[in-house]
Amino acid sequence: VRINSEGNDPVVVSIAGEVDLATAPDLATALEQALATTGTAGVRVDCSEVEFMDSAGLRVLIAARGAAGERDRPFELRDPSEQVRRLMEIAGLNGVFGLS
Amino acid sequence: VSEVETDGLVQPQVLREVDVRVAADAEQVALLRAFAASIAIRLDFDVDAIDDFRMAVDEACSLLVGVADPGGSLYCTFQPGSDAVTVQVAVDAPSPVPPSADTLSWHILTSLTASLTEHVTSGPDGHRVAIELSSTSSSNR
Repeated sequence: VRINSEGNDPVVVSIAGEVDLATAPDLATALEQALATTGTAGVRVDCSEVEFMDSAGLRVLIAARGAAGERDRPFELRDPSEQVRRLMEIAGLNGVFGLS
Repeated sequence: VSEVETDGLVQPQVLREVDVRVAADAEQVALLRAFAASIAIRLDFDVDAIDDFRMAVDEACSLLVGVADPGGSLYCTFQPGSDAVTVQVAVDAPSPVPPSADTLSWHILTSLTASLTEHVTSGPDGHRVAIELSSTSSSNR
């Protein structure tokens, strides 16, 4: 997986590749850093180039969203790939992450 | 350690049972995901069914890697049928925790598969935790 963070407010975290049990910790680290540095605009996660995500990745996103909420910072997912949408739909989380 | 055993193709489009054994660690799951997709393609699954089967095998393997004995193996058997495939995934584990205890993963697995069962057996040397799932060639999305 390749994870790239840009900007300060919001921090835009772009994910490319596969987020699974092996790579989810990398995403967790990147999102923790993004949350620690962002201003009031929070964190945007660009999922357009995610080739694969499973429950390991989903748990990281759920935890990061919770951490953002505690700091009163927005946390948004943008442009989920078809497979990410499918995963969110199954988990019943499309609404939670502002996807439809 | 990765090991792949197959008794080979007898004729085109007919797949026999395949056993795969890998180390039960996170890095190996991507390999089994690719293996699952390859089998579904050869069984002529539709595109959504290939995706769902790949996700299901990933979730089952990831779940069991999480409970496996350190340094243990993940055993995966693919049994292709005429328009379906059955997969058994098993690990040796230090405790007899059923896979369904992981409610998020189990919910995702239930949604992705045509059938899903779990098996926990205990012997003198420890516990064997297994998941059996089956998927069909047409997606029911």
